[in-house]
Amino acid sequence: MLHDRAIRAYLRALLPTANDVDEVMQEVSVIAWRKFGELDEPDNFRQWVCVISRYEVLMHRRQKARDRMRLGEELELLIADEGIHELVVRERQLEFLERCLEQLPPDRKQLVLRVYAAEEPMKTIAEQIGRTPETLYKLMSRLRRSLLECVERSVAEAGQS
Amino acid sequence: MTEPEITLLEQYIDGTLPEGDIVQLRELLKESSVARAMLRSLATVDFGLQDIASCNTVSDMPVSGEGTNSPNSVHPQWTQAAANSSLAGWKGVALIMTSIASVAAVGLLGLLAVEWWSGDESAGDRDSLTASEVRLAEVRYSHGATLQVQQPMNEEHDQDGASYRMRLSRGTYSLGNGFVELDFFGGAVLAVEGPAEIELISQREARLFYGRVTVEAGDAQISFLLHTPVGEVLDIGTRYGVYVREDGVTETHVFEGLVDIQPTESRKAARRIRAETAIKLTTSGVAEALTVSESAFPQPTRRIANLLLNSDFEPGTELQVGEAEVGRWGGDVCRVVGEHHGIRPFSGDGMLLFQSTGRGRDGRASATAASQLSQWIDVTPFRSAIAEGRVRVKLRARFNRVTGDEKTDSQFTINLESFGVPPEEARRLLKSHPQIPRSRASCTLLSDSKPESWEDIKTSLALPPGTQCLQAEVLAFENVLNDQDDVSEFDGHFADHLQFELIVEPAGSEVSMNLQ
Repeated sequence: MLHDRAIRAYLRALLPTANDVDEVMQEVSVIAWRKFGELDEPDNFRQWVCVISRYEVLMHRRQKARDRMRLGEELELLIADEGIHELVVRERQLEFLERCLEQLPPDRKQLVLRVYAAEEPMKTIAEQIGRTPETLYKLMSRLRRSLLECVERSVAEAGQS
Repeated sequence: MTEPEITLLEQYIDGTLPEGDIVQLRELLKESSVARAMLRSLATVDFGLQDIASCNTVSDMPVSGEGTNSPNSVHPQWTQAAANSSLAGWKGVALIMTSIASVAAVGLLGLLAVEWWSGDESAGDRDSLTASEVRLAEVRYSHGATLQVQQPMNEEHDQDGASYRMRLSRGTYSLGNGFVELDFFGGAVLAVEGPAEIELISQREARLFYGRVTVEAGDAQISFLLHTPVGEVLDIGTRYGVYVREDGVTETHVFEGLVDIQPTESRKAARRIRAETAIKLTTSGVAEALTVSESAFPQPTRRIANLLLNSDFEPGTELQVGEAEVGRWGGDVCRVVGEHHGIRPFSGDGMLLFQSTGRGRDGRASATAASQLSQWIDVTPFRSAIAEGRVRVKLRARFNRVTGDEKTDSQFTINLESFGVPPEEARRLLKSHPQIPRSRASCTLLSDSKPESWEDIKTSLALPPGTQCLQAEVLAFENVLNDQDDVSEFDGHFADHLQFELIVEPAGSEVSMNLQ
């Protein structure tokens, strides 16, 4: 689906795990496909899919109503509605993320990719690089924040030029 | 925002937020629009990193090698949760399908119960058996119950140390219920559905005492011999099912290729059974024709690799300027070349040269930023498995380019898109509504400037129910300088050795489904 990555990123803020994102995205794709004829203005495709996504997130979370880590429907809707207006920016951020990742020192870049490839438990990776899992989490937190700063700065600079 | 507040948001994204902190997080998000925006920003980076990592770009790989690829859905903290998920229902299947098959299967092994026990010591004293130390097959997938091991069965760590595979030696194994998929090292794959009893004799030979088995013999050059109470079943490049009842009556259903049955009673002539026919034989040699029924047998994993045609871009490959078709490449102006600008093909004698972002016969540039080539793939032969959410596809491609300079473009992308209509209709719809793909997977490479080595990217896509066709696409982007004049838009950008694989996940037979 067009804008697939931006919509997945949008969903990620509303759902607790990446697996939930995959499940909801699957539903969203099928519904968007079925209802495509109802879309009057193709330029509004992103927003239209977000509205579908927002509804599907609520349905998905209701199915898992016993999840004690839910933020609550009202708050989830607020986050979802605010997020719809950020889609273009999020898409731009995702475009810059790979370049920002390239700017990290090679060993740090490899570490980020290794952790996110999810082929090994964090504990194993921590052991292999001679750190405790706690310090690895902290290191990952720092790296993610620096990447976030980089993409925000890149989008802002691109907007000025 | 304060440091502890950002930590709360990160923990929520990571799934590591302590349960007691959820109230504090709710309050923070309720009160602060900045916190909500930060949550969305962190989620964007988290998703983006996962997407990049799952894309699994392997740089500087002059020689190919199939590595493990963990796709989009498994976050570091949730690997275990994914492996522990139930297989029931489409969503469960979809979730499992997004894990690499072997890891998912192995993860399931620890949870699902299959009653295996050793019932045959005919090969002699187990302790002195050298033969029993030879591994004949590996349990690749299991669905249905708990694994209990009494037969020599060897666990080995996978390379990543994260999971185990069960390797089986010679001996007899009994399966109470559920089904397992055995990957014989001789090349065949057997799906065995309980209740069943089977003896593993060699890497290309087994004996079925009772139960249902489907044999996917694979390479026609390597036969698999299955002994049954009524005779020996020898495949000839075949996929077939055998059902042995407890009284020895045996049904053989041939789905593809041919099989020869050599009756136990040596006076009887061998019977050759062809595809889409079935036969029932009693131990006394009485034969009866049956209607072939594939659904009455367990279905092993199927890997179909020949759906994308001319994917090695060898000399003579036709590249249409304009629309692609099923089995035929089409798109912008591209050419198949041999060694070019000092770059040799990754494999064979040819490779794809991206020339233009336009489709004019004169190769003039277009305003678009990509030179793209695609091919349609009809997946309707797999419609029933797709409807059950058991099909995923993988695309892998190699790219290379000249060193160039600071103005040399560097981006290559592969796309897989699925559609719920036939290829002709999808092509027509795409012209007016480029958003219509039902699902899509993509992977992008920002290539290096080292023409001595090919770079390698891959992507995978779980096909949603209803999918009828796919479009596989390779693109080179003018991501640095979008030339608008008549000069060559690409300085020397190549693709080669595309590998497309359609994987049908295993499933039990309708018989077992009805029993559940």
